Amino acid sequence: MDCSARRWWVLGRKSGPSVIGSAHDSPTSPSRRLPPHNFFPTGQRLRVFPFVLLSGPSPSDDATFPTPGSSSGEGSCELASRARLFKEYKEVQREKSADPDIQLICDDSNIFKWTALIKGPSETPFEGGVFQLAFSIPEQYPLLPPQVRFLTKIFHPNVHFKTGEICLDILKNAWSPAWTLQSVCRAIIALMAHPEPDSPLNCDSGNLLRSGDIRGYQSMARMYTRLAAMAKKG
Amino acid sequence: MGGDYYHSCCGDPDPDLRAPEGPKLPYVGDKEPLSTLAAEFQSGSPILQEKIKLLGEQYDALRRTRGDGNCFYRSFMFSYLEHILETQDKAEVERILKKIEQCKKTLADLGYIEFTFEDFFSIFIDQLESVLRGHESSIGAEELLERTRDQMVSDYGLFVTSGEIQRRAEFFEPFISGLTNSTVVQFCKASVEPMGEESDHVHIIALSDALGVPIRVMYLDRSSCDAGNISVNHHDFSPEANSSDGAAAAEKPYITLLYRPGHYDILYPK
Repeated sequence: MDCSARRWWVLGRKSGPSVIGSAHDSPTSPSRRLPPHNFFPTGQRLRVFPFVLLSGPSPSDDATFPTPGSSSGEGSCELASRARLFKEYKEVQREKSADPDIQLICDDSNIFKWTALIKGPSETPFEGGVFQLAFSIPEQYPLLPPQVRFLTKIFHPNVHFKTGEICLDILKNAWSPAWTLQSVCRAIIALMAHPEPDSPLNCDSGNLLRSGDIRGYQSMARMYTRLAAMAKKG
Repeated sequence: MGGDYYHSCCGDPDPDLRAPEGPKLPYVGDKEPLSTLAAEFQSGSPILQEKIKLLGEQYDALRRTRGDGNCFYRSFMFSYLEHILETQDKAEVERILKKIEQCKKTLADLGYIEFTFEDFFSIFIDQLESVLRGHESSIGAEELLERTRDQMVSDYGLFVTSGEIQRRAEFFEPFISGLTNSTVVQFCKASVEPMGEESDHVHIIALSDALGVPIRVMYLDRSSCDAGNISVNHHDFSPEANSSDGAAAAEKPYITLLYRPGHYDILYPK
């Protein structure tokens, strides 16, 4: 599959949701920035980053967060990504209502597993649907991107119909640590609104768009949204 | 996905000048005599051999970095920390710490979420403090090498670079529109911030300016001037002269990088 097409431009479009914390891109929420360092309820700031330490306080020591069940491979990388994910967790808790289209949930026992519920963007065939995403985060995060796939069936050129794999450059070669799980969700919502049929993972869907059969694409996508992403009626 | 090492990480690869293969090298290698470079090109182009000979007149050692796309930042950071370790220049450390605070402020003003970049900066600051003697946690050259082999040490460079380019968007815009057909913000998202994205002139200017550190780059490529008159091109990137501390601008670069199309390594003058 050709996933190399750069798709960042869709993210900057006015109609798309805002991406990254960039002030340019988020006219709707200019105050998304954080007040500094209030993630740690104890007041202790993680000044010395844990992977410089050999035996430092793990972020999961915090009582509010469950200790992961399996602690395999205590690499320095893993400590770093744990610390980072912990910050994202705190941020998600703090800003729960900031982005009503996205609900991010961390697994009870494993900070490297997350799920997200995202709302299908309006004026698209996905409107009214709620789509579930599964995040599997590598130990090298945020140096490497999270692996994300749709758990909810979706008919979209850049999502594999069977596996839910997503073809999005920022999840592959254009990844940067400046992205967060939250902003990845926003990018996926933007991708739903702006499919890129020239690098399809779902060829049927891509071909409909490429041949100009917008109506065909929309009705198929709409049908699967109804079947898979909306509450069953009665 | 983690195994995506590029033979060439910066610019178009020249088949003859192929950068060292990624997985076999540590992030930062050991210092080696320049003769190993000559040996590498023994059967290569005569222009290159001649240039390596010329390099040998001024430089005697080389330190290779892994060719995974972050080689520019890594070479720069290691070389800088090594410089501080050797000179114990406390004034310089004070200066760069101020610059780093400015960079963080720039990023925050641009709307970046703090937790996405603060860890990267903290690591560098810790490194910086640890190479200064007199701290309980001081380290030597060996340990610096060990620690720099940890990947995240150099990666704050891309945040510094991106922040600087966006802060001075007007200045960088003409460079960027010459390189790609994109806006400054698009360029930063697509060509600066992604991990392993190649570094170009624009990146070097921005990093050098943002941190106020001059950088010299020696170009080892096949270009040659008029027949018979071969010289090694170099370019000095001096921090913008009108910056608040003009002192650094006048300095001779103490960081020298060797550029082969596709890769940066560190050079040591005699």
